[in-house]
Amino acid sequence: MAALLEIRGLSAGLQGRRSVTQVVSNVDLDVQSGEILGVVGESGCGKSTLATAIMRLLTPPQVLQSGTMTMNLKDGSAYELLRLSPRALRELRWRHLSYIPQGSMNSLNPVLRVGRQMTDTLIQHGLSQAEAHERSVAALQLVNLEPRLLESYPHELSGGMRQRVIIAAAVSMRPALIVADELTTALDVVTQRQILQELTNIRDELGATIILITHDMGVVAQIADRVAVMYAGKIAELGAVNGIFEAPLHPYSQGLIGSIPRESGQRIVGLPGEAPSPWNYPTGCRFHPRCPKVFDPCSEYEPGLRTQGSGRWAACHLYDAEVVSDA
Amino acid sequence: MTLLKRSILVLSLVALLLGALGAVAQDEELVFGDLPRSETFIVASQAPHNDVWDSFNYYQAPTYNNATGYANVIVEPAFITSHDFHAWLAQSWEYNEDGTEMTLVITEGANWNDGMPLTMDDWLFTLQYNQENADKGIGWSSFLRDVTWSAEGDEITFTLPEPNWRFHYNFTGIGTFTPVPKHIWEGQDPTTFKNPNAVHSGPYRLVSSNADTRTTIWERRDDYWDPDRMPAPKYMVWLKRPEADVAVFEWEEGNFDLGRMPFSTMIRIISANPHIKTLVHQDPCPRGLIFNTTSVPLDDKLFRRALGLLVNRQAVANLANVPGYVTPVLWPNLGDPDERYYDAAAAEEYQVTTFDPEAAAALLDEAGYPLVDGKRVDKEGNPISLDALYIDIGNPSWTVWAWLLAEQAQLVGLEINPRLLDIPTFLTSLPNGEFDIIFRWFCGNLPGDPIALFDGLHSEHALPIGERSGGVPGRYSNPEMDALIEQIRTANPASEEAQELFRQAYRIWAEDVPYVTLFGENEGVVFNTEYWTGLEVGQAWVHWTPAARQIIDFIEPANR
Amino acid sequence: MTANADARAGESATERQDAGRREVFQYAVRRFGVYLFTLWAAITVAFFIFRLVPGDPMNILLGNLTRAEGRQRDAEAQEAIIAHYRQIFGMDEPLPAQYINYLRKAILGGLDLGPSFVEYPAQTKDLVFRRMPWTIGIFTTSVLLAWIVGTGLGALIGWLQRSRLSQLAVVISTLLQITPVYLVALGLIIYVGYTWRLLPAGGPYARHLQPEWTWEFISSLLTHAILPMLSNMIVIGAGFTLGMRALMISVLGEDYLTFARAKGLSPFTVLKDYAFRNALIPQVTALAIIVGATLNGTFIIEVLFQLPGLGTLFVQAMGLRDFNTMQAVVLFSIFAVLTLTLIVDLALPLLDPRIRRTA
Repeated sequence: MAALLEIRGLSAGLQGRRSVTQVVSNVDLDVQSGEILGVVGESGCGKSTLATAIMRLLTPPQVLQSGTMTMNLKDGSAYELLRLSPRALRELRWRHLSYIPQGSMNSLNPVLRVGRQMTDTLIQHGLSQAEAHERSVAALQLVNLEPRLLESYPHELSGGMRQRVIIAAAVSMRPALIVADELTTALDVVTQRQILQELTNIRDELGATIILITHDMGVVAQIADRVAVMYAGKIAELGAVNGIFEAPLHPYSQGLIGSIPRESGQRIVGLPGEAPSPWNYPTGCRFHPRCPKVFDPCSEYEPGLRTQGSGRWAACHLYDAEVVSDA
Repeated sequence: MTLLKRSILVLSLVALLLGALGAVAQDEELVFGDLPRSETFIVASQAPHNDVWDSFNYYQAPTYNNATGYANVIVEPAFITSHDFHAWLAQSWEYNEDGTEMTLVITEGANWNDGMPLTMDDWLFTLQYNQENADKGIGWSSFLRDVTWSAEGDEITFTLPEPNWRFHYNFTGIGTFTPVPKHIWEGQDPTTFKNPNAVHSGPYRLVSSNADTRTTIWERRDDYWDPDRMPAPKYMVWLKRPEADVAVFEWEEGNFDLGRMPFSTMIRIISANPHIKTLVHQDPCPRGLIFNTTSVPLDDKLFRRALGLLVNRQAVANLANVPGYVTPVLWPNLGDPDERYYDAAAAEEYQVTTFDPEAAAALLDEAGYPLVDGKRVDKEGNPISLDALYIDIGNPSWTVWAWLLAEQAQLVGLEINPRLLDIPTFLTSLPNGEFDIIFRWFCGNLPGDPIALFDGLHSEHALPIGERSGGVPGRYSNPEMDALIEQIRTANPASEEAQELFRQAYRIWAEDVPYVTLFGENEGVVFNTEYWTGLEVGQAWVHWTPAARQIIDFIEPANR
Repeated sequence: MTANADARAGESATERQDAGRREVFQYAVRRFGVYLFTLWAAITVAFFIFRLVPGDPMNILLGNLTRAEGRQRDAEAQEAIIAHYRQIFGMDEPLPAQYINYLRKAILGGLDLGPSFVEYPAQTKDLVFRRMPWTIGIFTTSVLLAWIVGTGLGALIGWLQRSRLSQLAVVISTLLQITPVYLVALGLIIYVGYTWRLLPAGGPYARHLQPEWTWEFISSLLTHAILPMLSNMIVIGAGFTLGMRALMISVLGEDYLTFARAKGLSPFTVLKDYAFRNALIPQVTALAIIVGATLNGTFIIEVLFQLPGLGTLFVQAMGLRDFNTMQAVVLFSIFAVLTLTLIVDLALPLLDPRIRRTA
C-alpha cells in the first residue's frame, strides 16, 4: 500500500528581492498511515518550514521551490498537495489534513469564543450547526475538556487548556494526517506528559497519522513510532524510534541523543559548534565542520540518504561502502 | 459587530438630524431668493468680530458695531458734517454769547419706520432716558451730565455747566446722540433690550435677519418722512463675508454691490469682473506714530524729533504700491494746512514733516546719543534698542512704515525692531501704553476745529503704564500744553482767541513731538456698477463705515 | 488526575467571568470619574489660559468702536462703558473670585456661562447651543464616515498588502494625510465649488431659504454639507486608512491567522472574523484619540465654508477676547470630545473580551 504522504524532492526557502536561500533542501519522506512520525532537529534546521510546506502555509518571503507531495487516502483517492486549487485546498484542510501550530498559545483568536472557532470551520466544511457543535463537544472530550469551555474566550483558559482546545479543533473532523509543530514547547512537564498521552490516544482511537515536529528528543522517544532527524534542511537519519535511540548511525543523531537528559540529570555529550545558517551552508556534507568523525570525502561530496536495512536510512559517508573503501 | 454597525448608523443619522434641527427657525414672509436683483443693493460687509443679528440696540457698543447694516439704513443723526453740512433729524443749533446755552431746532414731520410720528416727545424721552441710565455705561449719556434742558415748540435749549462751544458735536455726524422711539423704549432696560423690530427713523424697515446665513434684508418704506432723501434701492441686503479668500469668487460673479477688502484681493476682482470699480475715499483719520514719552530715551524731545526726521512718508506711500492710495500728511491734519490754526514758522523751525537722516544724526550727536562701535547709546552709555509695534490688516501701508523706519534708523546707528502684533493684543497695548513706538490712527478732526489733535495730549491721560488711557496713549505731559488745552476746550473754535491758542499748541507739538503723523489713507472699497452706480466717483470725506447713512443716498440705478 | 485538573480549571474560568463582570462595572465607574475630572480640568485651564493671552476685551471693544465710528468718544464716556461691561462680564473682581463665580454659576446656575460679546446681549450658553448642532453635525458625521470608509479601505489594502493597487493606495493616503485640512478645503472650494460649479461651497444652506421641513431646504442643507464634510473626511479618512492598514498587517502576522488559514476557512471568513475583528479594537481606540485631535480641523472648515458652528464662533470670540464665549466653546467641545471618547471606551469591552478582565 502507498504511504499516506509521499514527499519527493521538496525544497523550500526564502525568496528575497535579490537573493534566494534553501531552508529545506530536496527532502524525500514517506509518512505511513497510522504512525506517529517525529521530526527532530535543532532550531533552524528547517523542520518547521517542512511542516509549514506540508500544510501549504508558506507566506512570502517563504517560498516553495520544488518537489511534490502526494496524499493517498484510504478510500483510494490521491491528492497532489502542491497542485491543489485554493478552493480544493481549503476543502482538504481539516477534513483530511490538520495542523497544530507552533505557538499554540496565540493560535486562538482572542476575540471569538472557543466554540465559534471550533465550529466555524466545521460549518464551512458542510456540517450543520448542530452537527458542528456535537463534533466539537466530542473532540473536547477526547482531550479531557468539558463542553462548557465552548463558551469561554481564549484568555480565560490556561496554557494547557488552550493547547488541548487546539488539538481538539484539529481532530474534530477526524483527519487522516495531523501536523503538530512544537506541540509541547511552552508547557510544564506534567501537562506535556498528559497532552502527549492524549495525542497517542487520538492516534489509537481515530487512526490518525501524526507528524510531530519537535526539538525535544524526549518527546519523540515517548510517543513516536519513527523518527526523522533533520540537519541543515536535510534528513540526516530516518528510522524506527527504538533503533535510532539504541544505535544512532549518523554522528549528528549520536550527538542529539547524547544530549537527552538522562535520569541522572547529566548530559553525556553535547554537540560542539552551531548549526550553519541557510545563507551559508558548508560544501559537501553540511554537518562536516561539527562532525567528530569527519574524513576527507565529507567536505567534498554530499552524502545521499541511503537505506541501511530494516527501515533505517542515513545520509553519511561512514555508511557509504564505496566512499569508505575509496578512502 | 452588528452592534457596532448599528450604533454607527444611528449616530450618523442623529448627527445629521441634529444639524438640521438646530437650523430650524421661524417662518419669514420675504426671502432673499424672492428679491429682484436689479432692485436690490447687496453689501458684503467685513464687520469686526461682533456678530449680532437679533439685537438693534443703539446703546450697546457690540450691537452698534454690527454686520446687519442697521446703522446705515435706519439710524439717522441730527446733523451730518462730511465735507458739507447736512441737517437731518435736526435743522440747526445756536449758542448764546458765552457758550453756556445751546438751542437745537429739531426737524418736524419726521416719523419712525413703524409709521409712528417722531415728535419732540421722543427727543425729550431719549434725553431723559440717556441721562437716567448714564450709570449703566450706555453710549451718548456722559455728555448730558450736569446739563439741563427745556423745550418749546421745535426748540430744545440746553443749559451747560460751563462754556462749551462744541456741545453740538454730540449731535453731529455718525455715532452720536439720536432720538429713539418712546413707544418702543419706554420701560426697557437699555443694557438688554434688543429692539427686535429695529424701529428707527431711516428709510428702511427690517424684513429678516438670519444668523445662519449671516444675511439681513431691509425693505424700503414708502412712508419715509423725507421724500427728497428716498434711496433708490428697494431692498438692501447685508451679507457678512469675513473670509476675503472665499468671498472673492462671489465678487467675480457680481453677487455683491459694495464691500471692503484687502488691496491684493481687490486687484484680482477688478481684473475678473469689468463692472467692478474701486470707490476710493479718504479716511478722515490720518495715521501716525505715538512715542512713549516715559520710555528712555523717548522721554527726550530731541530724541523724538530726531526720530521724526527719520520718517520717510513719501517712501511709505510709494512702497504701499498704489499711486495715490497713500498720501503723505504734511501737517498734523489731513488736507492743506489751515493758516488760522497752525504756525508755519514753527513747522519750518522744527522740520515737522521733513525726512532728513543727516539732520537726525546731527541732532542725536548734539543731544548726547553718540555712536559707539556703530551703535547709538543712551546717556548711560547703553546701546539703544526700541520696538516699533504694528499690525497687519492686509494693507501694506500699515506694515511698511515700521520696516522703513528701522532701516533709516539703522543708517544712523539706531536699533529699532519692528514687531507684529495680532489685532486684539495691539488694541490693548495701545491704550495701556505698553510700547515704545506704535502705529495709530488719529480720529475726530472736524473742519474748523483741530481740537482732536491736541486734546488727547493733556496730562490727565498720562496714566501709569498698564492702565488704559483715553487720550493719545504716549503718556505725554507738559504743563504748558495742559494750560493751552484747558483754554481751547472752553473757547469758541471760530474765535480769533481760540485760533491763537491753537497756534501756540501747534508750536509746542512741533517742538515736543509727542506723536508724528504719517499719511492719510484712501480706503479701497469695491463697487459693482452692473446694477447700481453713483458710488464709483470718489466722494471726498464720505467715509464708508457701518454708520454712514448718507452714502446710500448716492446710489442710483444703472442704465441696463 | 487529568479530569480533576480540568475541573479546577473550568471552575476558575467561571470565577474569572464573574470577576470580569464586576471589573467591567468598576471600570465604567472609574472611567466616568476620569471623565468628570477631565471636564473640570479643561475648563479650569481654559479659564486661566485665555486670560493670559494678551489683549483686554474692553480695549478691543472700544478700539473697534472707535474705528467704526471714526471718532474717539470722550474719555469719560469710555470709562463708563468699560466699567459697565467689566461688571456685566464679572471682570471687576480679582481672578480667583472670577473663577469661583464662574464655576458657581456654571454648576449651580443651570449652566449660566455669562453673556457674550460676540452677540451681546445673547447668553453664551444659548449661543453655543445654537451653534453646536452645526459643529456636531459636520464633525461627528464626517469623522464617523471617515472612520468607516478609512477602516474598510485600510483593512482591504492591508489584506492585499502585496498588490500594486494597494501600494498605490498607501502612497495616496500618505499624501492626503499630511495635507493640511484647510488646503483640501480650499482646493474643494476653488475647483468643485467655483471652477466646475458642481456643489455649493459656502454657507449652511442656500441664502434664499429659511429653515423648515421641506425637501428643498433639507436637500440644500445636505448639498451644502457635502464639501465641508468631504474636506474633513479626506484628511481624517486617509489617516484612518493608514492606521487600519498597519493594524491589519500586524494582525496578519499573528499565529491565529495562520491557524485560521490552516483550518481551511474561506478567505472572507479569515478576513472578517480573524483579521478585521482584531485590528478593529485598536482602530476604535484610534477613533477616540482622533476625535480630539481633529476638532480644530473642523473649526477651520467651518470658517472657510462660512458655517455658523462653534469654530466660527470661537474665531470671532478670540478676536474680541470674549472670554465667556471662548470658555463655553472649549467647555462644549471638550464635553463633546470626552463624551465621544467615553462612549468609545465603554464600547471597547463589547469588542474586546480581554478588556473586560484587564481594564
